[in-house]
Amino acid sequence: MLFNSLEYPVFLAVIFFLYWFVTTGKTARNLLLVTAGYVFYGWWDWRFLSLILISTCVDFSVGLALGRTENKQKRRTLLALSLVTNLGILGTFKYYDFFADSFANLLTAAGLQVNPISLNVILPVGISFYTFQTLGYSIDVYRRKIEPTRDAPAFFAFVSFFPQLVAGPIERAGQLLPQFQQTHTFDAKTAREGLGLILWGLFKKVVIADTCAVVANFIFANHAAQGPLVLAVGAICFAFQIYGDFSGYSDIAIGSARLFGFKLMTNFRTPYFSRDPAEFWRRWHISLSTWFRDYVYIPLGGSRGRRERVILNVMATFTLSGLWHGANWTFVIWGFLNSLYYLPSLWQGKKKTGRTEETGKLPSLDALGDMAGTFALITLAWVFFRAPDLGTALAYLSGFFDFFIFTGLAQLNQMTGGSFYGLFVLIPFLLAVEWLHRDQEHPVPVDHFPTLLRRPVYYAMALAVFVLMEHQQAFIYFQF
Amino acid sequence: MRRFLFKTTLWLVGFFLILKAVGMLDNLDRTNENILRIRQVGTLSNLDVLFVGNSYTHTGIDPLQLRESGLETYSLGINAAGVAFYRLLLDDYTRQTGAIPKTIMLLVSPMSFSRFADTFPSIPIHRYLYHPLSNETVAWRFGAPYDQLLRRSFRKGLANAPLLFTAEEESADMKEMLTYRGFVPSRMTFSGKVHPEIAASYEPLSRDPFPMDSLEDLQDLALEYRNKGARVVFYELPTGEAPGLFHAQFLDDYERALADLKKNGFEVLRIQWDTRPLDFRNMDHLNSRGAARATGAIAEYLSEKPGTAAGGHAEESVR
Repeated sequence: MLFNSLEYPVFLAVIFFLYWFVTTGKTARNLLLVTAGYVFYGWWDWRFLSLILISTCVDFSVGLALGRTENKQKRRTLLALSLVTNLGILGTFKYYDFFADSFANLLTAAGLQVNPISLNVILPVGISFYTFQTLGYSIDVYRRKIEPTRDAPAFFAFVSFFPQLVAGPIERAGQLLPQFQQTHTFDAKTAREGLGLILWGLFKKVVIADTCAVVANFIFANHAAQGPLVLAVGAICFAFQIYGDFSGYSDIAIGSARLFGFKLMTNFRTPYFSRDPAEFWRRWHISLSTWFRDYVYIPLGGSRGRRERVILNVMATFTLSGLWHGANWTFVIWGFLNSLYYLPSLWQGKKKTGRTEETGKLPSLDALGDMAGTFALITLAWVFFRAPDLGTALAYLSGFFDFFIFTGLAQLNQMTGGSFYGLFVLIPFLLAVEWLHRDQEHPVPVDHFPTLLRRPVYYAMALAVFVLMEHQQAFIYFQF
Repeated sequence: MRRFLFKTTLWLVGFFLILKAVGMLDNLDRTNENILRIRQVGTLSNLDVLFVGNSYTHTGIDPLQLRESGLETYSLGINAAGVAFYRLLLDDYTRQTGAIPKTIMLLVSPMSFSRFADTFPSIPIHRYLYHPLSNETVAWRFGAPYDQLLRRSFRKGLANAPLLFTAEEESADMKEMLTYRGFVPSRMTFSGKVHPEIAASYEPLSRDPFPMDSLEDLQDLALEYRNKGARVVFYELPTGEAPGLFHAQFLDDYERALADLKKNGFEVLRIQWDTRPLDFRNMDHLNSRGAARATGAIAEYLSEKPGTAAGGHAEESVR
């Protein structure tokens, strides 16, 4: 079920009603949320519910078993069972064909003819998200960071919580699981904030991201006929498309969770105001970045040790993070490129947090330069993320060196049905809202406005969403 | 909780009311050819023949040519019309004029039974009538997608809002159409080649089954107007390449449907000749030359077979 479909508000209203008016007590409510999660996921394809069920059962059992034994060898074996199950499912459904084909291509290049066996399975929606979430639980129990839970309904609800099931935020068991182990009481203010976040998230997705998508899709599909300026517009549009799309999803997820009294982690903190790539990665898809930091980068050795080792750790973590996004070399290169961006900040010793928040009402020229430079680097890398294959990405980038700078610009608005000009309003609007609320955890643009002003703005946003929702476009991160 | 629910409900009601209020302006447009046709035909209470059909009708039937045969005629061809549109158009016409045309000609073609027929969200004919129907009514009666109807009405209403304060002139094309009583003459000639993009847009037709329930609705409509005293004739115009868009089973079922109509005592007039691209303005719509031939064939048929309201005529094929 898509958040930007008409089924979702109906589904949400039904679950809200059942949660607050029909069920009482945490177990009954957790069972309701499990059912809701399975219905939500099964709406797309019920067959793949079995994968969630397997992951959940294995990690719940592994957690219990880890809690019963102090034997190191046994504990390692149990963790291995969780890792093999979860990464095995992920590997089979997401990566098998990619690696089999890549291996076959390598052998063919070496002069050996092979016919790889392809599984050609459908990629289950959101598999990378819930797999990482449930895997994180087993690792945390193994590390004794959290106690294993014996509350099966709570654990099942934790894994299949519908607001964040298919595209995150990837929650930590230590943060979210305890919320399923308490009985929530309704708080109107939290619920109202939740609704505001849902609306703002929908606006970012349906109005901003989907409009950017029209322009980006056109330019990427016809990149060979465009000059450098239009190619730059295409990359910038994709940068805002993916931001509006994914942060919009996160806002809807966080808002939906709030309706039930749950607090999900922040996933984006105005990333395009970052002043260097390292800061960007502390502000973009925070739940995944911190997952890789805690479960991959630090176990590899983190920033400790010799410089060569640290470089290797950073590169490995970013490259794996790229691969997490999709089974394609474009994602691997995207991750690798970002690791190169990240490295200088390791030794510069720059202050790590709060740089954007500390900036005055308007950014200084120095800060503005840093932001623009960072945005340019990140946007360049997005070309690999967006392109269907490496050849297209390289051809796109080579187009930046074309002599005829303005080729294609005059026709762009007409070819995109007026969407291009629309972006001159939408993108500055998004940036202005984000800038003004950069010190807030989840900014909803008009939340602090007086009622008389707030209502019309909310209505205008809702109407824009409703009208533009006609051509439902799936969220980009669903495919991961 | 109670307060939260009350305020949320109130907000949603407000949202719905804004949608409805703006959507009510969706039929103010005076340059919409469908609105203009409906408004014009609603002033003609003395029609001998009313042609109802889709765009094949408004490009293929020339009422002024039929006037030469002494017949007061109107070409009420509305884009994407199917059985549901026919029903609304006829009911609205009779309600507005208080009259029933002596002869009602209802177009039949594979396209008027296809998924491209009766597409209320793209051609919201119910809103263009003299006595407009609400989106709710149409969604309920014809199963049209309600959200799309609301969306369309809101968009159109928003675009039409300035018309509340300005006078809008009919364009030259629209004036010509009104002069020709709904007919849209075209001097363009089909090149004989269908653009791949256009062919691709029709591709879903090759998978669709023939909708038997539409046939029943069509017979009910025809029977109802025959009982009211009108002579009802089903007519088919040449449609060039269009039949090739459907699969064989669909076309077989369509032929059976026409045989069914004939068996039930309805007149079925199939206008056929060895068509050439020269007779068409595009893949499946007649141009002025084709329209003259088709209209001539109909005039000949009507003069040769004056018919009666009770019907009971056999299939005729005019070549």
